Amino acid sequence: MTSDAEAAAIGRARKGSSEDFARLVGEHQQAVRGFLRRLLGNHADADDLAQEAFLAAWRKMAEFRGGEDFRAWIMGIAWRKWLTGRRGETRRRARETETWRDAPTQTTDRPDDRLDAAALLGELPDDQRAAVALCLAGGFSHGEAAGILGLPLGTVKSHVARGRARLLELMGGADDAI
Amino acid sequence: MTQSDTLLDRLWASDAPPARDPAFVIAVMERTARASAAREWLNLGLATLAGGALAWAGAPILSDVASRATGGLDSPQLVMASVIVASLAGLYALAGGARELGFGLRD
Repeated sequence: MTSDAEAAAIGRARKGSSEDFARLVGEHQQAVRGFLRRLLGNHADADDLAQEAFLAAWRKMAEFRGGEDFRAWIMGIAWRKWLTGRRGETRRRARETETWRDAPTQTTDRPDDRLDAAALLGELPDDQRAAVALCLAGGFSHGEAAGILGLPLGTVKSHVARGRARLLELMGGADDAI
Repeated sequence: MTQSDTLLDRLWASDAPPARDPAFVIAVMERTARASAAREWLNLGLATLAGGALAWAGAPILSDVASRATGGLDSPQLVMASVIVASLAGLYALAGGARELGFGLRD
């Protein structure tokens, strides 16, 4: 979808067009689900939370300001949804821990890679994992990630650098970009 | 692209959702439709209660007005009740309920 087409779809979705909102969901679902999968380490929980994030976005469409980046906006909603769930449910937290351990048993086309992604990302602290998921996996700039996560720019840069180094260390490779 | 970048790209690719997933989009739209319908039904219920309470409170006046307005009809209350229900339905339709219920009046 071109930026003009997206802006037009956003305008119509703000006026209540569910067809246009469905187009926006289709366009951004991969980014939102990917981000949440990397945070949660569990596909089913991540997809459920992604649906909740899109539902919240649908309710808040009127609040969306023109000129704002829609993908960054919906990622911010997803991040806050995840934070709310994490803070409110200690039991869920325990289940997430189990999820990291259970990752090898999940069905996937490439079980070995899935195991690596879930286990490796699970080694990072939450904020660091989120910054890495946005900047390294999602292609967001440090500034965009800082806006989404509500963290200072310097903190995000630090999280990304440390997270990258830690991941590469865990994967057995040195960071040759430095 | 460095070897580290390639390694990380492989990691992200292993965990990426599909670029196109109609089933996920449908699931989201089902949830939005259910939420919208629930909200509309709640609004309709509240409007009905409010309308009923108003009609009950204003019954003596309304009854008197209805008697004068309907002249020789046997049941002026029935006429007034119909007017009230029609007014509420009209207001609800104007407020967007008709679209949510699929009457197609707005789209």
